[in-house]
Amino acid sequence: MVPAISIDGLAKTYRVGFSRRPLRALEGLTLRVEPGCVFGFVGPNGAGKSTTIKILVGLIAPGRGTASILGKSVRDPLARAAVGYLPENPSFHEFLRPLEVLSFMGRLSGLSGPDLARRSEQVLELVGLSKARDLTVRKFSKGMVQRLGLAQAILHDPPLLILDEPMSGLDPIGRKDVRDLVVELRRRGKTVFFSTHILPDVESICDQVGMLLGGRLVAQGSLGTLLDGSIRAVEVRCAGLSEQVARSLAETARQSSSGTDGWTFLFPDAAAANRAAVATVSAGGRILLLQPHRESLEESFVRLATPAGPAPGESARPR
Amino acid sequence: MNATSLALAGNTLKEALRERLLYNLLVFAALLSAGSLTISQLTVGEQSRIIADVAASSTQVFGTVIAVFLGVALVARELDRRTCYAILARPVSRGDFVVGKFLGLVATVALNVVVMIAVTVLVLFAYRRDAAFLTLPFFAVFALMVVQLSVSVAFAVLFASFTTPTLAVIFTLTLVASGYVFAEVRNFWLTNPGVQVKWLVHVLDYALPNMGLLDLKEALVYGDPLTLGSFLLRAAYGLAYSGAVLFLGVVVFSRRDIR
Repeated sequence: MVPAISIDGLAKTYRVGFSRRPLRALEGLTLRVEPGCVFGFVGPNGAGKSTTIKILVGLIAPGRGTASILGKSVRDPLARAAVGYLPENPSFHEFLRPLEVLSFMGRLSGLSGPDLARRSEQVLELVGLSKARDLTVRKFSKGMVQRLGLAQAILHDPPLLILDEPMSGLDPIGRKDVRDLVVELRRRGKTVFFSTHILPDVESICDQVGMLLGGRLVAQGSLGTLLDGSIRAVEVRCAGLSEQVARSLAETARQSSSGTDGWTFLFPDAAAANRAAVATVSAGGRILLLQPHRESLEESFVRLATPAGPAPGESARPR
Repeated sequence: MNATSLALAGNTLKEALRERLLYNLLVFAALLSAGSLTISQLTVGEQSRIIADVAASSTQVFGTVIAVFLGVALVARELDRRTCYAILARPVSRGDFVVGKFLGLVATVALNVVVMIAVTVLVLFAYRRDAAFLTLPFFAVFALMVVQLSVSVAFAVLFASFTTPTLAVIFTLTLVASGYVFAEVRNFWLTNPGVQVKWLVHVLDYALPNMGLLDLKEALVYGDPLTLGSFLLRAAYGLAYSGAVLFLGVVVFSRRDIR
């Protein structure tokens, strides 16, 4: 099967400043995204996420290496017919109304006539901008511009969506709408490749994750393979304990605290948590919660980032 | 030219028609043309020529200012405000983008010239009370002016595609002004044996736009004869020159990283 995105040995160095000082943005990036999956491209600011995406959509020429979209080189403008792209902090001509923006963008993608009008109405409804149809983009809030950006990305029903920080500028409801939209797009068989540094968003919707640091891919795979799966701690919450029993449990716990609904303990492993649960029940108390804590994507990211090279602040950033 | 370029040209025209600068300059040029009715009273017997001269000159000068400043602004703004990101990420080549911008801007200056023709016709008609001046050469002069302005637009698009707006305006105005000045001195430099560096004059002759060739105001003012062949040759030169500058713009913009 032809991969939705295929990147081999991609490198990019910018020349910055008056002296044309070289600044490495990408170094030997190799990546494959299979059709139909939601791929989260994560990394700190300046890691090279936007550079990679801009190479994929033809805004930047690769320095070394190759990249292709559904088998077509990114150097071929026709490869972009299969792509819906949402830029980071999108911007549209301020004098246009949303339907005019969509009509313009649709014509650039080869749509026309009643088909274009119908699709424009559909996607405007889908992103929740129907009521803003009479406003010009100049009067849009940041979140509304972001929604319009999503609308133009899905307008021509492309099989691949490349979204650069799609949750940026959105309120919690907007972020949930975007997550729901991505899930719906996956259900329809689309491939979604999106960059973000908001890791909980990745954990909630991605099938595959790629971690970029200092222009290098430090990990790629499903969430299950990237997270080591081991139990880091076990949280036990219980009520109805006497002060004396609670104190004795606190001595074996890593952390403990008391609140209006009882005590909360954090034990280093399952065995200690098990003993605490037995002691609680034996003392006439009630178990409210028994929950193992596993490694989060954020912890995994920090773990992988530490030996990989430059800290986020030191990594190359195009200017 | 394809559907993509035309869509981009339409959007550029729409954007240009919302620019206050365009209307300010157009109103000023129209007022100057209308004011030529008063200026012409200062002479005896040549009023009609003065009206035509002032009207054509203001069309040319203000058209050039519109072509340069609007041309640079509209291309630079696409890059500065990043509106070109969503456009260039579609199946749109850099060539389509540059050509679309150019066509939209040429349509804008052409509309500007049409308005100025209307003003000129009204002023001349108000003075002469007849329409005998409405000859083919009258319209040919303004048509060639559009070709002349398209050369300015091509330079504006070229420079705006790779440098800052301020530098782009400076470079464009310098080249356009050089084109006008060189047209005045080229014959003297080429024929006078006292001029030493003839090779440089020849290089400049080919490199700079010969704006004088595209300037037929004298035909309008003094009624110099203008043949169809001469008009077509001049128009072909102007269009070819614009095309060459635009091609250079496409090459330069195609190599540019849009960061």
